[in-house]
Amino acid sequence: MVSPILSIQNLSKKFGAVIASEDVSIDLYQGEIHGLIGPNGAGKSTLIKQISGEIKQDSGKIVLGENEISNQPVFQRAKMGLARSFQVSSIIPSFTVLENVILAIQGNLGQTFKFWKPVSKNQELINAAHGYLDQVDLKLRMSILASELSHGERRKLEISMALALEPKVFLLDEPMAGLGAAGSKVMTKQLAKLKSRAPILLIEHDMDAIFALADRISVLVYGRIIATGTVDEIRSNANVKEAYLGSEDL
Amino acid sequence: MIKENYFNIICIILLLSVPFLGLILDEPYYITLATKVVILAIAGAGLNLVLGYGGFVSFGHAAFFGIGGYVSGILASHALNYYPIIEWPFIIEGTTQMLIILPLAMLISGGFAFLIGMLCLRTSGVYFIMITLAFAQMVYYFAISWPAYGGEDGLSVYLRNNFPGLNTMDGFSFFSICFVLFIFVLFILSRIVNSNFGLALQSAKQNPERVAAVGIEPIKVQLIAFVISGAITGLAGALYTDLNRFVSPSVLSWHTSGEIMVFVILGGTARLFGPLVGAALFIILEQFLGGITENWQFWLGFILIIVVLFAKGGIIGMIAKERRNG
Repeated sequence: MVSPILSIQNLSKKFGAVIASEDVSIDLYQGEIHGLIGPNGAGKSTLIKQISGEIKQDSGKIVLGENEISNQPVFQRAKMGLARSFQVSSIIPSFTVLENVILAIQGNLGQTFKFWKPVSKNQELINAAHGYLDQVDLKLRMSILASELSHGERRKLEISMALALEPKVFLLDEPMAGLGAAGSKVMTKQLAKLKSRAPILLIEHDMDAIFALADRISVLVYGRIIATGTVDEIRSNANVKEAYLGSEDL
Repeated sequence: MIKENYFNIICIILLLSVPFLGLILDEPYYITLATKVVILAIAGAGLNLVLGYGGFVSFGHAAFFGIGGYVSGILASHALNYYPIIEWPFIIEGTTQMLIILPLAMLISGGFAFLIGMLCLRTSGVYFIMITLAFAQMVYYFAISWPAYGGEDGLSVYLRNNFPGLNTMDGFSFFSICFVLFIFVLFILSRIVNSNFGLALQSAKQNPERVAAVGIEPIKVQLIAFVISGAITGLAGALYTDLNRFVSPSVLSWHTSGEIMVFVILGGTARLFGPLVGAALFIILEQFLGGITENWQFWLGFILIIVVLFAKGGIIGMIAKERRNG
């Protein structure tokens, strides 16, 4: 049997009496995009934060490749191969696009604690960054301050920074949010390419995009996974239809 | 607007002209003033690394300044009184060699910065300001209540420490030592700021979540910056003891922390020459306005408010364009 790259096992999290995650298990295999959908307040964000390490689970565990990462801090999980994008684009505003990507590369290579050589003269890092920017069609904008990028370009920059981590898994939190129809299309293509590099756990509101992209889908409602399956299985699942009341023609 | 590099060169020329003027006019006081500016600028340059580039406001840098000052004072007083610091289990003698004292002052204040930073960097914002202040006050009261080295009265050192080949009691020679060290510190800082480490430090200031998400531990980066910062400010403290041939708990008080902060903010945070401009303006105001009115600090406060409200990059920000690192 093929073992999953990322395995979330029986994860539970409560905030007081509010159940954010209850016995959540998701396996992510090489080469797949696994979509995670659910109505507002289903606990998607809390789940993402537990996987990335910002919130600690009450019980259950998370395994990345061979290693359990449940108790690792955020930066350690990133180092071990978990690349995430944020729901609200998260970049370093006062640095250029190029420098943003270089930051990710130096994080991945463990080259942060070099105090002497100017980044602007480090041709190796710069060339590597050019490569990652090329893959998201952002190379022409590389000398621009990240704060001056459009919303769509910031999304691309985040993807490029995720690529620069050479990760085992992409954890993408609503990469289409606020992109508009044309932007979503571009991003959809981008993600389809991305999955050949590493499997993607994709949290997304845009149903069209997720049905077009995902190989498998898990549906999260009130902190519980109520269904996991292929696109067709999810479309025809009665529980899922009920959860998305009013959108029975999923 | 002029380029920041040109502005920096003008600053250096102006700074150097003061002690030369002092030599020509036979006014040693000018040389002392210029030396004071340079030493305070080194202290500010240390703070600038964490306050300007790292984005965390340390209100406790007097601790490092004072610790550096006391290291110098204690070593020198032991050497001058021929009285070893420790006699058992082995003998440690005092020294008046700057080449030993200065690195030791940096090492010890850097060590304190490591301890204080480890405890403080878990907090941020107002809490960070308060906890760094609290630690500095602890050191301050410790110095006051430690009779071995003068307690509240401070510690006099009747000769400046020695530097091979120079007579440090000569004002101009001592200025030269301080000036060379200042330029050296700025050179090191400029390398650090533009290095991989500098990129991570300045990124952690703006977006620590993002830095962690690319596999870099923000607190580790900040702690190292804090240690470097403390060591540089400690170096300034050691030189300050030499300048005055005296060190007292007042260098450890929160006023000193505040003044160092004023140098940085007045001159321009995250600008290499900001602390020099700030310290120079501070001393100029103290000398000229202080001669006219006792309440010269009112005008300092007034200028500070104007700068904070209207000039984001401090005085350098008003005059010179920012040099991009990219």
